[in-house]
Amino acid sequence: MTASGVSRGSTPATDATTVLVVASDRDRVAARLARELRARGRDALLIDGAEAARMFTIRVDGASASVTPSCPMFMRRSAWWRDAEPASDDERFLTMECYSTVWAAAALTDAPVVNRPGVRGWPGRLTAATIEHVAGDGTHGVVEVHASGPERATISNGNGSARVPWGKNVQRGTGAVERLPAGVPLRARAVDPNEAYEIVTVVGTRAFTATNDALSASLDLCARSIELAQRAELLFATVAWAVHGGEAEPVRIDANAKDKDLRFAWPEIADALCEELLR
Amino acid sequence: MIAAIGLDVDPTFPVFVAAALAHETPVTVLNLRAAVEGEWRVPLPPSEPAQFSFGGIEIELRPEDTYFCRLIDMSSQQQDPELARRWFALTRALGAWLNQAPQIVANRPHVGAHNSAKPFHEAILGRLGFKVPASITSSDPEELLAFAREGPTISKAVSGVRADTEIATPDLLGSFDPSSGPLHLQRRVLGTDIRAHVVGDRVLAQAIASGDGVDYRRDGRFDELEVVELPEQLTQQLAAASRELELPFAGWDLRLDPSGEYWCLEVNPMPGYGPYDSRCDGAISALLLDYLGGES
Repeated sequence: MTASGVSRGSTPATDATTVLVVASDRDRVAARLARELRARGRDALLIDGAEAARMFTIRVDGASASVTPSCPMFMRRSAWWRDAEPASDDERFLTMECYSTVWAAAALTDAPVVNRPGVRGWPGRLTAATIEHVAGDGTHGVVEVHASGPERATISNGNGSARVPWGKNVQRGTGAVERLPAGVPLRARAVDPNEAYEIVTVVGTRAFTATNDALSASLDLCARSIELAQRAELLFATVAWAVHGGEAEPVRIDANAKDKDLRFAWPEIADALCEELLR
Repeated sequence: MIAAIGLDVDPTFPVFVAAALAHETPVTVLNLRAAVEGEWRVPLPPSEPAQFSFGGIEIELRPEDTYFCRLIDMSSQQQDPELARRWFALTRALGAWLNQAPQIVANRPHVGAHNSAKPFHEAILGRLGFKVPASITSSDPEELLAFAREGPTISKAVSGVRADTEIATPDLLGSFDPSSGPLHLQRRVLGTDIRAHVVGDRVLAQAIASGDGVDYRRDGRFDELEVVELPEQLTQQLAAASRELELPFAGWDLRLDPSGEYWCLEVNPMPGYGPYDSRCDGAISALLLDYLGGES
């Protein structure tokens, strides 16, 4: 047993009723969900990517494919977290083999998967410009700049509005672009310093706001978040909205939602996730 | 204008650039190894040019350009963490740019990435109507052994990592340790190897008798390649499948068995086409230049 109270082992025995939570045991969302599943009387096995890869047998013959065991799966990128870089090329190769096997198993299984990897791989995070592209709404000019440093991250403030360039660099520094260290690559967008944020968690066709702000309802953020998640082919995601001037724009979609973004509506989110996995 | 993005040390990228020069086709060349040492500004969506500055050179990638790209992230090869982060940032920026660029991109990053998950890739090819050799991917010694006992078998990497394909016999699999798995085994098909490069709707195929070897490339037999005509139906199927997979440029590996059946082994989304190009007088590069230049 791990600290999360979920069974875990190198050669786990499973059947189709077991839910595989493919994640790191340091992933708090995965651990919480595993506990929720167990509270509902289901076996939940929290295993990392390599352990999961070695459980599956995938057969492909012509257009047909089968995956055994056929277990519901809750997929998290944390499954591939590691404390150190691979010690050898062989170890790196084996990690890639495991990654590819889990990708294929999750893509091909008939069982429910949250979030199912697609033809381009495991879902990750979408930033403002990519969201606009996914939404097919590319008429608003430059919304994001990727640059080698703040000195090259010039971005329009939106026709003289109060927006200022705001960046996040590769050293995980965040702030006004002019205050970020020179020569460190970053991604920037124009931000209204007074804007507020709403985070909407989407699970299938349901959505849950992090706040009770009436503006979120009047701006129809739940329905808009569901539509965006569907366009991004995500069953489970958080959509972060920047709210300013009575309008809202999506600035981030995260397929690997963090505990801090889910905690405000966790009971409802957990119910929805369990329902999706136990269909 | 055509823009070419890649690495000078990648064997394939210089083939395209040299062909453009030989054809006197204007091309903007962005060498990633040089660009990562300089400065860049990549706006998204790509409604205005992306700018690069290095070694006293200024380069612009324009939304109206077409692109040949081999975007390779070298961050994992860097000893210096700062340089590794620059590689990551640059290739992420260019990846986003190329995924949204309005004109033709051969090929957009991550399109065809399923080649790196072989069971998924093979299922996709099967669903596209190709005859694909049966396979099993597993860490279960008994399952693997049972598959190998049913017929001639090869093993190859599950992922896109370049690794040798090997013959897998029940004897060899007897010592398989599950902790070194998973293994991807596929039924071996004997016959003639065919590499078909698809550029837009054009298909150029080259063939080589497989002989007893597992991989003619590893055996250094490129000089035996001959340009061949494929059946019209197969040619159309390859072009349609490439379109379906959003691959303007694709390298299909096929095998023609002695009974006249064509098998599909895989489709490469970033074909290393140099050795094939040099065995057909640069015809693949010429197709690419025509296509990206709007002449086909």
